Amino acid sequence: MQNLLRLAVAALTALPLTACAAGTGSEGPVALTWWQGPNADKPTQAAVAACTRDGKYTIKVETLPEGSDKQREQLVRRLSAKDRAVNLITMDVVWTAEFAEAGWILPLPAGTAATVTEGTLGGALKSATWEGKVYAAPLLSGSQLLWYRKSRAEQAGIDPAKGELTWDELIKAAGGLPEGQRGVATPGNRYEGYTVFINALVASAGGQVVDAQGKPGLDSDAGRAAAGVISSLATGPAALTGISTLDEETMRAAFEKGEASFMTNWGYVYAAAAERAAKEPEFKKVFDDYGWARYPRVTAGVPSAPPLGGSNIAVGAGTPEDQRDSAFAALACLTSTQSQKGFMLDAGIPAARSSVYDDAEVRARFPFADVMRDSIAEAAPRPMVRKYNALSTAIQTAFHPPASVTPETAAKAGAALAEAVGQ
Amino acid sequence: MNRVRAEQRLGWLMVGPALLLMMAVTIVPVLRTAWLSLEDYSLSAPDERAFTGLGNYREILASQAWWQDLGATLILTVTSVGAEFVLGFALALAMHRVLWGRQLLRTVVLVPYAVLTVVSAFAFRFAFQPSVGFVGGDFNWLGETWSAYTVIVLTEVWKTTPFMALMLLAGLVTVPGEVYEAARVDGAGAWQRFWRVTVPCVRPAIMVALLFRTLDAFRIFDTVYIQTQGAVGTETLSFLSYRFLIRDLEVGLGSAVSVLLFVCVALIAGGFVRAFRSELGGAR
Repeated sequence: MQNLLRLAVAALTALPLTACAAGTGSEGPVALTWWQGPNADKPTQAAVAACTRDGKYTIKVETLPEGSDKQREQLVRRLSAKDRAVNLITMDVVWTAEFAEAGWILPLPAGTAATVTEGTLGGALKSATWEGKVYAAPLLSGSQLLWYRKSRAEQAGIDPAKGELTWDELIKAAGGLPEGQRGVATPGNRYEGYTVFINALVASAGGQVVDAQGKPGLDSDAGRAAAGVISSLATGPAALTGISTLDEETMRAAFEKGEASFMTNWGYVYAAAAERAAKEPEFKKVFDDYGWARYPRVTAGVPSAPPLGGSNIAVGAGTPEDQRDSAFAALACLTSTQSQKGFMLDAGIPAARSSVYDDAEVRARFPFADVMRDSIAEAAPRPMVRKYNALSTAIQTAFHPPASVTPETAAKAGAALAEAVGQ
Repeated sequence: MNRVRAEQRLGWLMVGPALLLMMAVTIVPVLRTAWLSLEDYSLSAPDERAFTGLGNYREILASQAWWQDLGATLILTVTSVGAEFVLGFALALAMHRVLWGRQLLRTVVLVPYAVLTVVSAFAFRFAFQPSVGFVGGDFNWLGETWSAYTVIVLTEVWKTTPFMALMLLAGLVTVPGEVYEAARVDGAGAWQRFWRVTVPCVRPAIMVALLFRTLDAFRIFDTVYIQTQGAVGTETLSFLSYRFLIRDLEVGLGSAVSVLLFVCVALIAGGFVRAFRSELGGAR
C-alpha cells in the first residue's frame, strides 16, 4: 500500500520536472520561438528561412489564433508568467504601451533600434515607441482607405479620387443613388474596429480621444463632430440595415454585393477582390470598377487622419540573457525590407518601410501604393495607454449601437472612458 | 472491531489521492479567487499590487455595469428557464405516453442536447444574419436589444429543453399507474388528473430540473460570447467577469465579480431548497 502511494507521489512530482527539462538544452545554436499570427504562412516561412540560413540561431514558429483580441489573451498569460519560450512576439500596434509598462517586452538596444526604424513610415514608428524608447520593430502597417465603385461615384456626382471629400458630402451623394446601392459601409459592430473608426473621426476633427497626459478628450467639439458623423451614417440616407453589426468582413461582403457603393476598409479588400475576380468572370467587371482614395474628412479643407493598423515584432522579457542578442538580431532580420516586401506580396498587408512601396513588383500588384503610403504617414494612432483594452471597451459601449448616437454621446463616452482608465 | 478500523483506514487511503486532487483543482482555486478579490491587482501592473480589503466589491456594486448585467442575466434566466420548463414538460408527457416509436422520439428529442453550445450559438447566429441567414431577412436581429434577447433565448431553449424533458420524464416514470386508476375511478377528468396527480407526484423532479437549469442559465456565457459579445445590453455577469479577468487583466476586480456570481448562485440554490423543502424530504 505504502509503496503504491509513494510511487503515485513520485510519478506526480516527476512529470512536470521532466517536462521542464526538455525545454532547456543549451547546446548548439540558440533556439528562438516566434509567436506569429495566422494567415501569413508563406511569407513567415520565407522570412524564417532567410534569417536562419547562417545557422547562428533557429526560429520555431508558434501560430496564434485569429484576431488580435484572442492573440493578446494567449500572449499575456504567458508573458505575465515570464515564459522563457516567448522570444519574438508579433504585436498589434495598440499593445505597445501595455506590454512595455508591464515589463513584458524589452526596449531595443540603440543599434537595433536605429536599424529597424530606418526608413519606417511615421505612423508605424510611433506605434512601436513608448515613452521615448523603441520597444518593437515595425513589420507591417496599413491604413484604411475609402473604397468606392467608380461608376456609382460618377453617377452620384462626386470625385473621391482627389481625396478631399467630407463625410457629409459623401453621405449626401450616396443617398441620391438608387435604392439598394446607397450604402456607405463603416464599422458599427461593438468591437475593436469600431474604436479604430471613432478614433479616426475624432483625430480627423482635430481632437484626441486621450491626450498625452492620459486625459480624455471626447467631451469636446471634435468628439461631438465625430458623434455627428456616426449619427448621420446610421440614420441618414446612406444607412445600411446591418450597421450595428458591421465589421471588416461584413462591410466587404456588402461592398462586393453592391448594397454599399462606398466603404472604409483596409488594403486587404483589394487583394481579396483580385483573387475573386480571377475565379469568377462575373465579378471581374465589379473589380475593374474598384476605386480608392484617401479616408474622408470630417472638416472641409482639413486633411483626414486615417486609421492605423499593423504589427510590430518585440522581444519577450522572459527571454534568457544569453539568448537576447540573438533575439534582437532575429528581430532586425525578420523586419528587413526584403521580408516586408514578402509579406506585402504574399499576404497582401502593406509594409511599414517607405522604400517597399517604390518596388516595381509591389507597385504592379498594389496600384494604390502611393495613396496607402501617404495615408500611413499621416495616420492617427490609437491612444497609447496601459489600460488600452478597458478604454476601447468604454468607447465602443458608449457609441453603440450607432443609431443611438447623439451629440451628448461624446460627453457620456468621455466620462465612461475616464472611469475605465482611472483618471 | 480492529478489522473495521483497518478497513476504514484502507478506505481513506484509497480515496486519499482522489480527494487531494479534487482539493487541488477545486478548493484551492476557489480560495485563491476569494483572496485575489481582496487585492488591487492588475496583471499588466504587477508592481502596483496591493491589498484593498473590500475595495473591489465597493467599486463593482457602485458601478452601472454590474446592475445592468445582473438585470440582463435575470431576464435571460427567467425567460429561458420558463420556456424550457413548459416545452420540456409537454415533451416529457409526450415521451411518456406515446407507445409507438418511443425510442425514436426520445432520440430525436435529445439530439439538440448533444450539440455543443458553441456550435448551436453559431448556428443560430448565422441563421439570423441579415440577408445571409435563412431567418435573417432584412432585419438585423443581433443589432437590437429585444431581438438579440430573442435570439439568445431561442438558442438556449432549443439547446436545453431536452435536458428539462429528460429530467421530468424521469419523474413521470416513477408515478405508479395505480394512482391514475384510483383517480379515474373517483371520476377525475384528464385536466384534474394532471394537476392533482401528475404535478404533485413529480414535484421533486420539477424541483431538481428547475434548480439545475436555473443555476446553469444564470452562468450563461458562451451563447452571448458568440452571438453579441455583450453588445446591445446583453452582457451577462459571467461575461463581465471574463471581461475583467481575461481582457482587461484586472485580476482583483474580476475575481470579485466571480465571488459575487458564486454568492448569487448560492442564494438561488438556497432559495430553491427552502421553497421545495417538503419535496426534498419526501424524496428521500
